[in-house]
Order: sequence, then C-alpha cells, then structure tokens
Amino acid sequence: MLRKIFDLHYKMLEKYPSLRPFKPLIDAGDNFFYGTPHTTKEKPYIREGVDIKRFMIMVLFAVLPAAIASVYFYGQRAILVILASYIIGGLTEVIFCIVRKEEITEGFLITGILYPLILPPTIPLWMLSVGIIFGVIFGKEVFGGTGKNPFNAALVARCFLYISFPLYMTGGAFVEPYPNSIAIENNKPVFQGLGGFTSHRGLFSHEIKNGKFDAMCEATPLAKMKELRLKVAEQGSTPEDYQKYMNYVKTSLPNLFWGYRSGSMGETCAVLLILGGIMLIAMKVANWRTILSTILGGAVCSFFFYDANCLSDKLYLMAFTLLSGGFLFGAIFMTTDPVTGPITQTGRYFYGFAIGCIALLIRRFSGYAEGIMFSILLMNIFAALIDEIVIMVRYRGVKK
Amino acid sequence: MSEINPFIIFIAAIFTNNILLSNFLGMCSFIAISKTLKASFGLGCAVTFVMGITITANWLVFHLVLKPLGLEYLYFLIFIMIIAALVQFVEMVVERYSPTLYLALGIFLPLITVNCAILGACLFAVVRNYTFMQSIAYGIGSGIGWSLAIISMAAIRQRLRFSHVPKALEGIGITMIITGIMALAFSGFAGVVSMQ
Repeated sequence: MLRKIFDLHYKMLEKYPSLRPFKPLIDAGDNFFYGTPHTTKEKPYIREGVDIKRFMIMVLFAVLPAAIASVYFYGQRAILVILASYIIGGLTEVIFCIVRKEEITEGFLITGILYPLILPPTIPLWMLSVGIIFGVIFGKEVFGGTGKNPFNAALVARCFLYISFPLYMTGGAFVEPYPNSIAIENNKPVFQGLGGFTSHRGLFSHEIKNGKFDAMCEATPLAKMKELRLKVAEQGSTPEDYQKYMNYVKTSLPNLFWGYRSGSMGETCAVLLILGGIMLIAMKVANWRTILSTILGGAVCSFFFYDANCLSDKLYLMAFTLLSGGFLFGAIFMTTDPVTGPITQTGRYFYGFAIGCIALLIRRFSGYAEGIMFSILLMNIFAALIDEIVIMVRYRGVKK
Repeated sequence: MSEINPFIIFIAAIFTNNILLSNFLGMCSFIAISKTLKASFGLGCAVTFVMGITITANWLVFHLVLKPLGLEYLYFLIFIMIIAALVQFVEMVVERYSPTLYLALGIFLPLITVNCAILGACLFAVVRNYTFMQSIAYGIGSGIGWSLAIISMAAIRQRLRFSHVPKALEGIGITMIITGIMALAFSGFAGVVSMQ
C-alpha cells in the first residue's frame, strides 16, 4: 500500500519535471519506511560501520524513554514542544535541501528530539522555533548537512538561545515537575497515576508574573546547591549552614535518580537516561569510551572542586554532581555524536575527560549554574585538533 | 588591580578573555592563515613570541621613558614603532631558519606588525595598569590563547574540506560562522577567573 504511494510519486516525478525540486522529500519518506537499495553515501559510514539510518533510529529509540518521561513530568506541553521542534526544524531542513538539491537524511530526527529535551519546559514556542532554525542553518546546513557539521546542532541552537534570552533559559524558566508536591515534601519518589499525561498546564503559553513564569516556578537542584554552597563559603558561616548544604545534597539524590526535580525537559530522569545509554552501548551505536571518560572526568573534578568535611560527604557530592543538571544527558546523547567528536579511540578518552572537567569547572567557578552545554561545544571545537594530534603522535615515523 | 596573581592573568588571557574570541582582535590573519595546521601553528608561535616580547618592551618604554618625561600621549606611535622593529627581527630569524614556514606565512609575517591583537594586548596592559610581571603573563597568555584559537580553527577547516559548503560561504564566510560559534562556546568561561 505505502509502496504503491511512493511508486506513484516517483512516476509523477518522471512525468512532470516541474515537480523535481520535491524529490528529496519523497526520497526521505521512501527511505524512512523502506530500506534503501543504495548503500549509504553520507557520513559517518567509515567511522562507525553502521548504516546512517539504523544508527539514527537506534539513537531515537534510546532517547524515546526520556522523551516520554518529559511528558510524564511536564504535561502535554512537552509533546507540543517536541512536535514544534520537529515541524519547524524539519521544514528548515527540507527547504534547505530542496534549494541545494541534496538528499534529506535522517540526521534531523535526532537533532529534532534532542533539542527540545534540553530546553526548559516553559520555553515559548516562537523562541524554540528561532533556536532550531538558527541551529539547523548555522549549526548544520551551512556545513553541508548531516555528517559534516563540526558542532552539535542542538547545542548550537540551545547556546544561541541561552545567550540571547537568558531570562527564559535560566532560573525562573524551570517549573516543578508533576506528581511531585508530595514527593518533594517527603523527599521520596511517589509514582502517582498518570502524572502529566492528563494535564495541559500552560499548553500554549506560560504567563510571566513578577518576572517569574508562574507560581510553580522552582529552582533547579544545581542552582539551589550553588546557593547553599556559596552560603557555606561566605565568611562567618555556621556549621548549620554546612549541615543544611549537605542535607540538601543527600536528600535530593533519590529525586535526582527518579526524576522528580525541575530541570530541562528530558534530562530529569537519570534512570531512563542510563537505560538509554546502556542500550546505545550494547548496540554499539555509542562509543563507551566517550561516555565513561566523560563521567570519570566529572567525578574526578567534583572530588577536587567541591570541599567537604569528610570522605562520605564528598562521595555524596560526587553522586549529586553526576546525576544533576544535564550531565548524564550530555554524556550519553551529546558527547557520543560520531560526527562532532574525535574519530580516534585515544582521542575519545581525552575528549570525554575534558568535557567532564570543563563542565565541572564552569559549574563551580563561573556565574552559570550548568556547564555541560558549553563544555561539549568547547570540546567540539577541539575535537578535530585532538584527532590531528593523536594521528601525528601515532604515525610519527610512518609519514617520513 | 595589582593584586591579581600573574598566573591567574595568564590563564584568564588564554580562556576567559581570549583576545580573539572575546575581544575579536587579530581576525585578519586568523581568517587568512587558518587553512592548514602547519602554517597556523607557525603563525601562532610567531604571534606568541612577538606578543611576549613587545609587551615587555612596551611596558618598559611606557613606564621608564614615556611616563617620567610626561609623553604618555605618544604611546600609540611608540608602541607601533617598537612592534614593527621586533617583527622585522622575527621575520629575519624565520627566513634564516625555516624557509618553508617563511613561504607559507608569506605576507602575513610582516603583517603581524599591524596585527591588532598585538597592539591591543600592549594597550590593554597599559590601560589596566598591569605590573611588569602581570604584563608578561598577559602577553604570553594572549599569544597562546590566540594560537589555540587559530590552531583549532585550522583543524576544523582541514576537516571541512570534505564538506559541501554553499558556494557563497566558501572560505571566509564559513570561517566567520565557525568563529561565531567558537565565541559562543567560549562565553561559557565568562566569570571563571577575572583579570581586571
């Protein structure tokens, strides 16, 4: 049935040459539902040995649980945000491909879902659209499309929004997740009913009152932790301050793990992210070296950057660091992008480790609460250089 | 101002206040030379070297000659002259010891004279009232920061050779876009260490 529809389209294409510009669209639809008779022509074919389509679909499956969780925690608005990202970003990509007469590849399926998942749930739809258009055009298409972009398009888009509209991307933009008022009071995750699936809170807009989004606005755990830590670091802080700080860190761990906390849409539920990561590694889609070294880098740096009175407190802080913010999401879905990362195995260790370190450095010492976005983008810059150095060192004798 | 540890200034000059990516100085040679890794590495070394030396010389001249004589208003002129003389010196050294690098750098070696990053660094050091050690740290740090930017740009551009960049954006256009995204990423370091 579907096959017939596509065949019909192809026939029409041959009949009416004026329809030629839309060939990429039909090709994309055809390829999505049916295997393609051609072997892949796009990168990253050498780098991973997996056909680009399979590759992308696997990532999509791995990130799907997190996407569903975002609906559970933030209501039907999450669906709307993801849809808007797909539609606007997809249109941008399609227009670009038609104008440039290129093939539409499955790359956008991933960018289109990763991008909304790293945004706060209250993001206005027009802002989301501006971001994804910027990301797709300047992060990807100007470099020639999927497989050729030196920077992660979703991160370029988010970074652009972060710098341009900080009010909508920090602090007040984060709302508390759904089934939570009980959970957060008791500090215990309680699964209650359908959560956000049945709610359409702020479906089309979130009103801004007194500079904040609405009554349910809630600081992210990272921001809270930073505030408490600064209080401890102040002169004349009492042991109670320290107690409060550690208490907060300890009690929020289960919430961080199960996802009952405010944050960007997809990054809240650590359990599902880890499952997705395991799946990616098991399918050999993601490289375990990058993920492992990113987490290692974060853990080592948190050990050195955050002061604590005893070792067990330090370990709690370390767990908090790794579970909070977008660290896991970034480590699993962003650093493993085969196009923007290094292609040498040794390079991947350095790349991941540096991402973990820089993320923690930014979190701890700069004005921003979260640093994983900047650190991945920064290391995207140096990925090519890392490769060059690794190759240079490895084949020092060979060239001459 | 004078309390900041020179080492902190050194780190800040490389990362948080990268002279290229946060002040956008030295763009012309950055864009023109960043085609191949080798040439950009050479130019990066040359700029670091010239920057470290000129900032020292300029600091000495400003504080030991111009200031006692009350001729501070001449500092633009004097600085440029000192930079020009030193670049001439570097050029002769490079030509003598590495003719390939000399050919690769071409016109851009003498153009270091008018590289705004170098004059900019010298002027920043004076405007911010850096001490002698701070100035040296700032000069070398800025040079290394500039080199870091141009080398990583060269690596990206080497990889881009296989990309299908729109015709209108080839060369300078795509380089500007990459520079913009690099600057976006580097803005993440804002406030990590301060240098003023």
